[in-house]
Amino acid sequence: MKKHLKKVDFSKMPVSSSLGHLAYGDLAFTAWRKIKVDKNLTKHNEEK
Amino acid sequence: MKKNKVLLIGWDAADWKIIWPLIAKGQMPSLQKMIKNGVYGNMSTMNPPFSPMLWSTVATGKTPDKHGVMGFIELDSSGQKLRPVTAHSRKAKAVWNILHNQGYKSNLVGWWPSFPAEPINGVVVSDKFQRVGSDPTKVKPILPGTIHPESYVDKLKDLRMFPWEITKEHFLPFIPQAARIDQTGINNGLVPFSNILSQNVSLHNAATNLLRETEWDFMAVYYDMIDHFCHGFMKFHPPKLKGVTQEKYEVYNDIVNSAYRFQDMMLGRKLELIDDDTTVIVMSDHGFESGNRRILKMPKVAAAPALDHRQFGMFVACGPNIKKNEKIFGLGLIDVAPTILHHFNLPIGKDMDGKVILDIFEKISKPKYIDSWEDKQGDFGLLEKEDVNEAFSDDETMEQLVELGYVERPDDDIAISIFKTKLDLKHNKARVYLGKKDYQTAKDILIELMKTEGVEDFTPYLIDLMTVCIGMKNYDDALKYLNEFKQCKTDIRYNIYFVESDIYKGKNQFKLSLEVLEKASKTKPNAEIYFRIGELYLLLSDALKARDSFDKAIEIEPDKAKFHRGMADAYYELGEYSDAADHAFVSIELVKYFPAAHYILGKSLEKLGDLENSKTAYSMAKILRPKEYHRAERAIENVEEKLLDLVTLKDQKQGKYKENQIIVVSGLPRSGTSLMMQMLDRGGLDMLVDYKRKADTSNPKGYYEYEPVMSIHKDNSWLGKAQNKTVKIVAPLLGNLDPKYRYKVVFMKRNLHEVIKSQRVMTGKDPDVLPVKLYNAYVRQLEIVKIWQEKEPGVEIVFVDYSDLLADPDSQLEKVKSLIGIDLDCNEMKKSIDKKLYRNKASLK
Repeated sequence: MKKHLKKVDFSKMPVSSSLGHLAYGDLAFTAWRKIKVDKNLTKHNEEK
Repeated sequence: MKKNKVLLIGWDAADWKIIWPLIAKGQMPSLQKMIKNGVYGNMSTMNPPFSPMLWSTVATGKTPDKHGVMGFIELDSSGQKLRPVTAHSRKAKAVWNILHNQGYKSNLVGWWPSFPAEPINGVVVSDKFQRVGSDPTKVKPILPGTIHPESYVDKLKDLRMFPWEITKEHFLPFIPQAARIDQTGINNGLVPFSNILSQNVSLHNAATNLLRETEWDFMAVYYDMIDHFCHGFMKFHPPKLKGVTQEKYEVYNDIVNSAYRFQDMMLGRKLELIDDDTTVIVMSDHGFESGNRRILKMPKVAAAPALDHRQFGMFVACGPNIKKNEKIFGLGLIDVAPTILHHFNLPIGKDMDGKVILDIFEKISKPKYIDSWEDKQGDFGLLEKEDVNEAFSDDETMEQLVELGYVERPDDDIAISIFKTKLDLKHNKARVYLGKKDYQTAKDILIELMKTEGVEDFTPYLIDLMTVCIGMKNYDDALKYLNEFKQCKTDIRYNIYFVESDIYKGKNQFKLSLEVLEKASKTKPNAEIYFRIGELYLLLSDALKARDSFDKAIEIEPDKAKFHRGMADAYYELGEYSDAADHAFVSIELVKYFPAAHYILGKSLEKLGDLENSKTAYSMAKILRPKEYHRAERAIENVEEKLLDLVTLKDQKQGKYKENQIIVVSGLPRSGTSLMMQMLDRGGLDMLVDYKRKADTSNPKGYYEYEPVMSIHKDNSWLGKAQNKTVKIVAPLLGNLDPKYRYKVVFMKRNLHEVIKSQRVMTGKDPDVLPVKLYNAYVRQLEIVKIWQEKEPGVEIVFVDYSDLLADPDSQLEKVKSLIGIDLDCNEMKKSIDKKLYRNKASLK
């Protein structure tokens, strides 16, 4: 039987993320990437 | 929605020794939940414990000699370059190939090795996916062959995490004092840590995505995080090792525990994403040393970090048809693939080395078999043969293997590296055969390696040759290789005391064997040494010292089953049967399928008068190891007789003929054995003799010998011919009798002074000189016979005094007759006695 999963709101995820977010897998990771892009941080990371 | 699915999760190097304390603190709740709802146990690894070989065994149910993955690296198809091992090396079909053929859908994530991705029905995210490099200026694209089908590349490519994305929120839970780490240099500080963490997150992202988005029947996900963090940081794990600085200990001491905790968090998420119909397996390929056996400075040998791998990994399974909260025993890596095929109601290839782990299932169905899946025609989703011109390399993965120490940094001269790799792969193959106890094949390969020109250091081959020879009981050759080893010059400091002591032990030089270990115990005291010392004291019949030594071993490692089995043996010899039974029980509690422990339990309970349970224990020993525990079969018969007729307990060695019994006439040389042989011959028994040794003045009526007896210590396979016959075997050779037969021993006793005197006359020496050493040796020999007889349930024995036989033959022959259980012609037997031949009587000076 398929489990009913709670919907998680990632919009308030801090840009520094957490281990919990990483453990959550693809959904949290994709949301985190988006937050970083929105805050223009991806480029910053890659330039480091 | 698919039903009856299987999710297989690989945690490389996960070990119960770390897991149980974390579970006790509530820090691995997801695994704890699985254990509560399922089965758990030790997973026994194989030799050599190199992960790509082991995970390929998990996938195929076959040993590496059959599946072909022989190490961490391989030659590419051009034969001109080295690269990390690929799926091309695997020559046997994996469980997902078989499932593909049978119409099932499989997802595979990160399996080692799985690149290039095989074209199976489902999605394969190969072990190349997570290799992104640690240089942000050189982000690697996803190479062709990384993901199957290609359409999934776009869906998954952005799920790869880069090491430079790791934030302090990610690493502080692992390393709270990370600020103290020296960050200079690209491979120092947090860079290796970030590589490992991000790679595992990438695989986890792909796994969660496929779990959510795809339909599948079987899914396998592999993580190397625990293994890699252990290799990097286990030396800093508590308790603090002497050679570790306080500062490093403080900084890194919680990384290993954190890796397990994070792995459990990821498990929790995966469990959320599956339905209740799914069977989940979490397992490791080997354990990891976390106690005082941790190695601080690795020797410079091939794949040295694997020296830290422990023999037992872990296994947990839960699901609709899996037993609940039950410990299971006797699991091996080779059993996983057959068990998964059985779950899908598919036949198991008879050429697979593993068996279905029926113990885990609540409702058991009979496994089905076919000869082999390998020669079955059809689509199995296999790779096309690699095109030589498209041979790929993988510098990134290669560099990580070098950093981990699994692979030596390739030489500037590639030819040298290729030569060394070929040797290593061949050596690994020999070690696989050694692990399978196919000693002859292992020896042939090792001898071939020994003859190879250009090898700088033969010592690794010599060590394995010694082990092979010990396995073959060829102790002379083992000693030859030991001497050769001692002549070799090598930069590596090997501990060969176990091998050396085994050689002497095999040659019955117990004291020499003991000396080697006693010496080693002073410089490198460890539980295994104390255990082996205990075993030797048992052989030397010093049960008290044996007990003390086993005690030391148990104090260091209380959870080793064989240590408790040894202690049980020691207590049994001391006549303390209750303590013996207690330790046998502990041993069985630790390893259920341990035939020696069941056997000593049976012996102890028999002495305690608990015959029913004794019989059960003996039966278990026999079932578990039918070839080696013929003693148990004999012991069961004895106990059954006792159970049938408790009154005749003391008379069990008399009056009953046993089917296919072997009658042995024994004694010290010149104690009247030939006379007894002659008498039994006349009495009507069949003899096993070859008359090669002719009668002479010392034995004018002949020796009644059989030549193969002289080399019984090397070959006792002829004993089958002795069934229902009588054979002469002198006392020192009795210990070589194969316990699978039933023996009736007529043991000739004679005054030792007379024996020695007679021998000296025979060899032309002064008969009036008594060699004290020889005398003592014979006394000892008689003691050993007594111990041997008590230990062997298949042996019944009567002692016939030579002078009594001459003086009062009737009473002695009656004793012999009652032992053998056959009517003998005593009058005819007595005609053999010629009192004139009773020479060399002892005189009291």
